[in-house]
Amino acid sequence: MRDITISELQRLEPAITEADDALQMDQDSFRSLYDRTARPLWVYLYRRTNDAQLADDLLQETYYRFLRTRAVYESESHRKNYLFRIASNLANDCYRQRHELVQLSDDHDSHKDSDAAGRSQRRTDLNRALAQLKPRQRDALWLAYAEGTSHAEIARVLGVKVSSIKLILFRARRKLATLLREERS
Amino acid sequence: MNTCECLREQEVMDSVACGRWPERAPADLREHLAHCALCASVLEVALALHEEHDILYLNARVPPPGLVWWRAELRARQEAMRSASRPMTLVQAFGGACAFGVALALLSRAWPWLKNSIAIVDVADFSFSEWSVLLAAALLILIIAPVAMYLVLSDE
Repeated sequence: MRDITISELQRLEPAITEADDALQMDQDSFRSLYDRTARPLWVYLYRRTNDAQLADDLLQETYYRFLRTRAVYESESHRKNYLFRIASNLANDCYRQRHELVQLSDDHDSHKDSDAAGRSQRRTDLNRALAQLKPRQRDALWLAYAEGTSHAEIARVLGVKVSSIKLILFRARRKLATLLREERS
Repeated sequence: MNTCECLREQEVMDSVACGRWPERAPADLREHLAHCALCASVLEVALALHEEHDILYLNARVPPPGLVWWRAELRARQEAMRSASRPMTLVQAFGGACAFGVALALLSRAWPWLKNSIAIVDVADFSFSEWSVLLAAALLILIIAPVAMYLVLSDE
């Protein structure tokens, strides 16, 4: 598409003003929401992608889509779940596009303490084990055991029935526990 | 209790989430864990994931909210401009197509006259200078046409 000229910009001024209104929140409310949700959301995206830069990009995209969506939220947790749902879908798209398994990255080393070799080893084991699970299993486990999300909320985020979550979690947990034992032995 | 869940799973998870495991966990829960394979796997997974979560959470470097807001606003504006300029682009494309059609119609009407004119001129008898003039005219048209198109389509 060709570039937009200055006179066109002047003609489009009303549309630009409309664009400001297109974000479904004012800046102060956004800041408050961001402070409450950005960190867990970033951690979730980072866990899904194992790439800090990509997690940043997906975080930006998640909030952009959230801000553009005209939705009515029943509660704070509904709003948070919706954000995680967007993030989950974006991470799934990204995973499909890249066609590669989540692999260990050097980024983990930046969090290493000199006296935390044991912890580092446990993290390596966990990452190896998680890499062998399906994305949905990883998501469910992370949300349930790391974020403390309820089954109903996980079902909303993953877009599955609540009744399926117990089984997904059971299978994923059993598999992860077995893999962790194998890694440690 | 069924085969894929134990009623005390939540207690195990709470104990890990609140940092009570293992020292401050109730004795009966520890006793239960020694016999319940389901809760043992919950504990194993919860401990591993919770530790990972805490490390990542502490080290997470999220972009400042102002930057995320500014980028979102900028992108919303760009999208609004793009969608607002779409009708203009369509009108211009339609105008271009009309102009091309008119040019074709004129050419088809003028074709008999052009054909006669070309028949009169014998290109085999053209001298070097005549060929040069012809080529220069063709080149000029090739250069002028895009410039003219640009001037027509841009209004600056």
